[in-house]
Amino acid sequence: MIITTLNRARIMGYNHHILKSPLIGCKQYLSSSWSHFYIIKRTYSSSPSSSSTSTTTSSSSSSINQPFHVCVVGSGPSGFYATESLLTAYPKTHVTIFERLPIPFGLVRYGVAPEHPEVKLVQKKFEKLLTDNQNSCYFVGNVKVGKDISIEELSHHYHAIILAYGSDSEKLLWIPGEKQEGVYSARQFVSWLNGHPDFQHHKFDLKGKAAAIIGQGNVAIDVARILLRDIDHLSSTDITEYSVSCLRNSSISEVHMIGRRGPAQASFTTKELREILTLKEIETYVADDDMLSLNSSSSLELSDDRSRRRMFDLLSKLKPLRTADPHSSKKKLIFHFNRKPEEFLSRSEPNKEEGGSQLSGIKVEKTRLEGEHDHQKSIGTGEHEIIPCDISFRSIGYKGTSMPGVPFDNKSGTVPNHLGRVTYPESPSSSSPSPSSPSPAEESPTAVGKLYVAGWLKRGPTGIIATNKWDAEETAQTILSDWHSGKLSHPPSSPSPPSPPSSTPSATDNTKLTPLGIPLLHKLLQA
Amino acid sequence: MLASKLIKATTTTLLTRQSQYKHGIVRRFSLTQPVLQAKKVTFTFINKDGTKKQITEDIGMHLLDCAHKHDVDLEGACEASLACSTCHVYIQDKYYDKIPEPTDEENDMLDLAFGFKENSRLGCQVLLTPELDGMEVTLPPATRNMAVDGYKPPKH
Repeated sequence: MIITTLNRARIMGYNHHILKSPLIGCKQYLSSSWSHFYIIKRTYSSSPSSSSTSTTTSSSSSSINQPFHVCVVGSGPSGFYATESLLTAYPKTHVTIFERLPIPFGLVRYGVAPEHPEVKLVQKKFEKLLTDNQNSCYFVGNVKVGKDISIEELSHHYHAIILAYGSDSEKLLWIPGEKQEGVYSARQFVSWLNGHPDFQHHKFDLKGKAAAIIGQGNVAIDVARILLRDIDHLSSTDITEYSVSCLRNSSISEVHMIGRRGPAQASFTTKELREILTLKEIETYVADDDMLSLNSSSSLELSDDRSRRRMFDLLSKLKPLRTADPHSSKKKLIFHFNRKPEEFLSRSEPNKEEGGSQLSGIKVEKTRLEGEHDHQKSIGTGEHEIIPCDISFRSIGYKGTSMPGVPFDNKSGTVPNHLGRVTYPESPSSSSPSPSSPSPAEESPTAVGKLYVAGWLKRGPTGIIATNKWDAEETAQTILSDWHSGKLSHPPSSPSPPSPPSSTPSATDNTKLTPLGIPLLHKLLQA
Repeated sequence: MLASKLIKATTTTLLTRQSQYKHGIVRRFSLTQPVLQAKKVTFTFINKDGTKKQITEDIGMHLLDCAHKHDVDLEGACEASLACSTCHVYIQDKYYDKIPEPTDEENDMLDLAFGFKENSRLGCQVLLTPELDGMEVTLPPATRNMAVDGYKPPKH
C-alpha cells in the first residue's frame, strides 16, 4: 500500500514534500471516515528559529517553540495515550505512529472478547486523535520496526522514539506434552476469534467433552465464557464467521479452570468474574471444599486490598462439585485452586481422526502456599491427581519480545527504564552482556538517549486499558522534561540519512527532520 | 335598605372573585411534591492542577457529561457504559452520602481506578440532584508522581 501511494505520487511528478495521508495501509479494514487516503501537498512552514538551528543543538530556551518530532512504535492503548499526552502538553509535537499490522489499536481490537464491545469504544477516541490532528499526527500501518526499518534509522529522523509495542509473546509452562495437538494458547484463541491476521490459519479441535484452562486471569475467563456460552448470543457480536461455525460444532460441555495458587491470589477482576458466575446457562463449582480455605497470610493480603477482597467474596460463594446435580444438562465451569500442572497426558489409543487432539488429561500436583503475606510461594505437596480433558488452553500471561538495538530484560519481558526513559546496562564492556541484551552503543549509537517506553513493555503485562493512561502520561512527562532541558538534540547531520533518488526534490535545511520524509519512505520502498 | 345591602354583598362577592381571578390563582390542593422552580444545580470541578471551574447544569445530568460540555479534562473512554474507570472523581466528603450508593458494577470498575480513595465515584454514575448544589468534585492526579501517599497499584 505504501508502495502504491508513493509510486502514484512519483508518476504525478510531484515536486513538493511528502504526500501524507492519515493512513497508509489497507483501507478496506477501516471505517468509512478513513476509507480514502489522499495525497496532499504539505509544505513545511519553517519558523525562523528552526532553520537557523537545524545544525546546532537546541538550547532550552529555543526548544519551547520548536517542532518536536516523536516516533511511536505500536498503536495500542499505550501508543495512543502517549501520543495524546504529548499533543496535549506540547502542541508543537509531531507524532508518527508505526504499526506492524495494517490496522491500529492493538489489543483493544484483538484482545478484547467479542461480547464486550463497550470496552472497545475507546477506539473512537483514538481515531478522533488522528482525525483532529491531521497536521501533526500520522499513522503508518504495515511497517514492522526492527525488520522493515531499524531503530537506528528512525533515530536519524526523530528527536525521540517511544517503544509501545506491548507483549507479543506468551509465557509457556515448559512441562512434558505441552507441544502436542490439543494444547493451545488462550491468547491465540481470542486473537483468532477477533480476526487477527496472524492467527486465521489456526485450527482448534473442539470436538471433545472437557476443556482445561491453565491460568486464572481475565483471558482465561474469556475463553471459558466463549466455550460455554450460548452460541446465538455470540453470533450477534463482531466475532468472525468462521469461528462461529467452529463453535457451533463444539461439543465442549465442561471447562476446568486450573491455577497453582489459591483463590486469594487469582488475577481475575471482579467484573469479569461476576459476569461468568451469573450466567444462567451454566453452573459454576469449585472442585473441592478445602480449595476455598485461606491461610493467615492470604487473609492479611485480602484485608489490605479492596479489589482482591471483593473478587474473593465472589469465589467464596462457589459450591463444591460434589453438590452438582448429576442429571443436570447445563454446561459446567469448575475452578481448581492450588493445583500445579505437571504433565499433559496423551491417549494410549490414538484418536481415529487425523490431526485431532490426542490429549486425555492433565496431571497436576496439589500445592499449598507458604510464606509471609505478599511474598507467599506455591509449594508442592507430592500428591498428584489427574484432571481429564480433551483440549487445553494455556493462559498464564503475556511476555514481551526484544528488539535489536534496545536493552531488554528477558526475565520480565520488559525494557529496563526509569519513569519511561530507557536505561542501559552500566558497563557493557566489563561483564559479558546476555544475548538478549546487546550492547546498545554498538548497535545503534544515535538511538542512545532517545529511547522511551510505555505500556506493557515498560511495566509488564498487567492492568487494564485505562492503566496505560497514567503510564503513558508518566513517559510523556519524562520526554517533555528531557526536551525542554535540551537533552534531545536534533538528529546529527552526519551520518546523513540515506540519500533519496534523483527524482525527488532537493531537500532544504528544514526538511531534514521530516517525520515521513522522502528519504525515510524511500528507504522503506527499497526494503 | 335590603336592596342596598344586597347590592353591597353582591359587589363584595364580585370584587372578591374579581381579585381572585385578577391574581390568577385558584388554590388547588395536591398530594405531589411542589415543583421546584430551580432545575439547575451549581457545583465546582477542581482540576488536576488545582484550578477550579464552576458549572451550572440541569438536574439529572451526570458528571461526565457536564465535564465534556464544559471542557473539563475528564476522560470517558467507554462512553459511560461501566467498562472503564477513566471518569473517576473524588466527591467532597459531605456530599458523598447524598449520592445513591454505587452498584456492584460501579464498584467493580472503581476497584481498578488509579488513586482510589474512600470518596471515589465514577463520574458517569453520579447524577445531579438539588442536594448536590455547592458540591466540589476533584479530578484525581494523572501520574504516580502526583498520586496520593501510600498508593498501591491494583494487583491485576
